[in-house]
Amino acid sequence: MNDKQLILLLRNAPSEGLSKAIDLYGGQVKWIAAKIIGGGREQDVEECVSDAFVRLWQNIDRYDGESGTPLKSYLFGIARHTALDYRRKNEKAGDLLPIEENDLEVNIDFADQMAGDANRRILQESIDGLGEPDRQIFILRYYLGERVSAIAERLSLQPKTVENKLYRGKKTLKNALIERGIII
Amino acid sequence: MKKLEDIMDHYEWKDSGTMIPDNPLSAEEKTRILEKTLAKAGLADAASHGVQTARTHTGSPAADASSKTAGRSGREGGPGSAGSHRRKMWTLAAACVLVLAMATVSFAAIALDKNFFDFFGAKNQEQQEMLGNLSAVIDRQTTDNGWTLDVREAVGDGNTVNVLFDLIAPEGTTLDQDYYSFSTAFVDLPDNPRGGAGYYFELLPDDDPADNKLTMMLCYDTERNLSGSTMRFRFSDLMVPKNQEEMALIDALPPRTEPGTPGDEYDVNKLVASGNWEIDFPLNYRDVSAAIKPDANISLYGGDCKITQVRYSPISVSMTIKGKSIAVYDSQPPEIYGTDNSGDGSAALQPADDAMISLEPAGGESQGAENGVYGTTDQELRVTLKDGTVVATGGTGTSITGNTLTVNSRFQEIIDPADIASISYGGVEIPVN
Repeated sequence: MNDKQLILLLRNAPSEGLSKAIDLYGGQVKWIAAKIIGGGREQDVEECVSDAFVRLWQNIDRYDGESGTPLKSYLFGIARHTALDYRRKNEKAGDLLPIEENDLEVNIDFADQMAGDANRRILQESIDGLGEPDRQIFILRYYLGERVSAIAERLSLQPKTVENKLYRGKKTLKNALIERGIII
Repeated sequence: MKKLEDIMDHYEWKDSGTMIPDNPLSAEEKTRILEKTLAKAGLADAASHGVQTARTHTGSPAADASSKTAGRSGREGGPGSAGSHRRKMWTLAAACVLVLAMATVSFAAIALDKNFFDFFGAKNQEQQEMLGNLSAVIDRQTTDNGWTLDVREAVGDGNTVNVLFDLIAPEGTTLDQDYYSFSTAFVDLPDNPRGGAGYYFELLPDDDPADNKLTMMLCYDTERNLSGSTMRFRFSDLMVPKNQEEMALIDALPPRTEPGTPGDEYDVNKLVASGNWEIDFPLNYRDVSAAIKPDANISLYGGDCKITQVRYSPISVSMTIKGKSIAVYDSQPPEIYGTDNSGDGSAALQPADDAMISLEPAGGESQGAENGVYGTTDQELRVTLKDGTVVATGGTGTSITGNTLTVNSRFQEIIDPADIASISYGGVEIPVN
């Protein structure tokens, strides 16, 4: 089933559409939720997964298929955001990343429509322009909150190499954002 | 926004499939998750009866407003003050043409509080179902000083929401006054804080004035998207107005020389309950607004603009207009308000309320808004039904961000979107349906 068919199904027969969406992407959404919420919280993970699909249905009309973003990616963004909400509700978990690592030292305006669109484009191009495996490492760490050691094992790299690439990736992103004129 | 994990919310992960393992859910997991999902979406009953979607279209007359009214709170950042009014609002982000989707869910599945039916004037089951399609159960509480704020349900669309909530006193407390207010009552959207909004509260009719509960309705409008957002209430100190004898004591006091506190001897209100109630809750209803992109020309603020989007639902309508003259207008402070009271024929420079009334420059020649730089010949959003009826609205609110103007209006009765023939503003009529 392609994206257009699934979107039509979600609009016109939402129960069936949600069932199909969970068939197609439930496992991956659960993986994202588990990564971010953390171990030992299976009930929260399941609740988070169902919340993510509810939000997909609620926001299906806002999905812009013309932009080139697959529906799956849109859903994964919702899943990530939902999982972060669950994580923050758990006082012990707090932020996904340590404070010093979480700070990009740059303020970016996403709230204003025009500034937000421009800044999102710059952010997208900056990260996509990092080159591999730096981009993959960056996403695993800063999008999914994956541990450095797990990233290193997955990509057959030394943890120190991963740390260095993350450090350089952040610096490259920050410089790219400033050079391309992020709107603050 | 500085935190990387927040910044990454705005990154679109387009090749996610290569990094995430594809481990399907077990059959048992899938059944559990699907059941939860359908229940949260309010689709559980529809699914079990084999009903998926249908379109229902009816109309009904308006309802009367509630008899008791609570204090009308002002804007974001302002303490509870009388009057609701709109200020600057940020524009909607409309990326594509939306199709009206009126999924029918059985009435029993929604079970919307009857206060909504009374508030919106729903007179039959079809209208009640229309409201039900716009609704979500919230069921969040917070307690302070023995008083509980219980946020119950919400009905809304992309830019308009009504939130039903109770303030419950300790057992044995009677709340039988006609008028209550909070000393401060802020409503925020913490996930999307930048932007304006207009809101007010209505104290709803009380079936049992001797009980310990007040039921209120928040009416909130903004250009930011509400559906799926988090809303935050920050209320403090429940108050009632002082009676005549108490007010006479205020008149006898010397002028205040220092800032006061809520309910002190200078306050026209007295304290009923001291407390601070802060609560976040999700507006988890589905926005079923229809939207069209007319790309119609309109002359506004002395320049050519485009009507880029019109959105409408059973409870409100909004329009997005873009053009350079809008930004020019917004960058200039208003020059003249009101009438010329100078006595010497010079133009009036008396600040007034937000509404632009008329310009009276030297010489006494009056310029109405239609001839001036500000406003247009028709500053109301008008909705006309297929039978020729013009829908009653509660006034038109406007906001400007850069070169974009957003206008929106709440209906005073539930409108079946399929009955709408056209929506007009500034003399430009946009046919719909």
